Amino acid sequence: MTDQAIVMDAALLEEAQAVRRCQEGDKEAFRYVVERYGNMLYGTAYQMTRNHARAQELTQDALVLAWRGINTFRGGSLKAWLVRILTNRGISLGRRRELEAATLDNPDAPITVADESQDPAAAAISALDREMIKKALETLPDEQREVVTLRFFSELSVSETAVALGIREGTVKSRLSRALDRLREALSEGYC
Amino acid sequence: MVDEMGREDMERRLQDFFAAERSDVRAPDDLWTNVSARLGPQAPAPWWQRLFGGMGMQGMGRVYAGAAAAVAVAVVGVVMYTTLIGTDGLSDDSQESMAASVAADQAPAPAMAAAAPAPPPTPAPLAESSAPAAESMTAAAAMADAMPAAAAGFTQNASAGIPQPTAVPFRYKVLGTLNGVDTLLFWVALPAGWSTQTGERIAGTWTGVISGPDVTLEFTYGVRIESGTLGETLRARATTEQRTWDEYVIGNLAYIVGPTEGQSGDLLMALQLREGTLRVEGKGLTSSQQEVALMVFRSIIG
Repeated sequence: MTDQAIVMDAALLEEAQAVRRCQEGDKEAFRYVVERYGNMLYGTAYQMTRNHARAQELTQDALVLAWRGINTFRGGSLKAWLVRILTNRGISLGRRRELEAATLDNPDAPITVADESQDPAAAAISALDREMIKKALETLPDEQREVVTLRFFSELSVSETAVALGIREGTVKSRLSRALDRLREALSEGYC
Repeated sequence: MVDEMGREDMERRLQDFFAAERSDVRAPDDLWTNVSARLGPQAPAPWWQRLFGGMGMQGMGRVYAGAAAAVAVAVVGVVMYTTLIGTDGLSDDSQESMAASVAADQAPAPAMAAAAPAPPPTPAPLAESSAPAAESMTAAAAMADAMPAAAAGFTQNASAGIPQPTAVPFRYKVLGTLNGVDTLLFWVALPAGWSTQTGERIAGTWTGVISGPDVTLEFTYGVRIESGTLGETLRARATTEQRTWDEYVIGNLAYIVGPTEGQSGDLLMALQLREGTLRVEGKGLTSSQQEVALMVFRSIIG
């Protein structure tokens, strides 16, 4: 077993223990969950809403719902379960429909790119490339953008994405495939 | 150049793009502070989980738990269907039996007397609906009431507070496969094609919708702020054309306001759950839609 696998197993064990303690009503254990997945959930919520205030509200709602319903969690990927609550909550709040009319967080403002010397992730992609991909993503239908976001932003596996969206893995794959084709097309036609 | 870009290249670009996005978007520092301030009591585990949790089901995974739950629901349905078919000797018209059951609720007699065939109900004035006779509660033995142990087929005298078995049979339509749905606020069994959606939470109260073909039930769930008992509050909303009755739903006292027999109209149902009050309301429902709405309501576990 590799060191990385050992670390992952240890993390899963730690997570399972935290869930069990949460199910016994231990709020401090839930803090572990919040700190472990808070950024991911918030980022996913921001990708859905493109509004920091709404992302914050959505993340908080999802986490409170997760706490309330932790007794219904029956194993599997906690991350996918949390994202599913988040997306369901987002849908139920009608965020997607509201998105059309919502005031975005400075949508025309130039993207702030982190100092490339300090941030390898930011260094890997230029501001121009980033802007092009962002615009290309906006051309995707909601269901495809959702899959792309969960796969690449939230870093869920195909099976986790399927759980999070309540769809089959095959559907995830087909949506992803169509999304990638569409993105390639959009990037080649309009933005490059 | 981009035309020739392979799927792998596209994936790599997306990975780079979202990695940069992740580095830009961070949850607020006070996330835990805000979340922890809102953490209330937890919803109990679903009944099937509680039932099987001590039997090693916890480690078996959701597939087995789901299968067990499905089998349990199917068994309940079959047992109830065969029981009701075999015991009440009434016609197959579920509306008739429902009307008989509810009519019994309106009869000015003790709860046990409801076992006798009841006369057709008449429009009940408000004063009558809140009279002691209306206080005697008849549990229509709907699907939910056939679930394990939870006050199935019981009536209760409101003043005495002592559950008593009722002899009022209740027949309902067999609606096919029922699906257990956990809304995270409560658990409910829904016929095929039905779904729930939880919406806004305003001032500590959740709103949402339980809907199926041609039927939409709106619900609110939260802490009551009105004065007076839940029953009083609900009865106050009854018009002279409506009837009111109380019954037990899986061990919890429920209050219902609905149209008189065979009439279309609004149906308002309220239930005191462990952590708050659940109100479910359907507007302009036909009598058969009311029947389905009641069946759904009677399956709620909180």
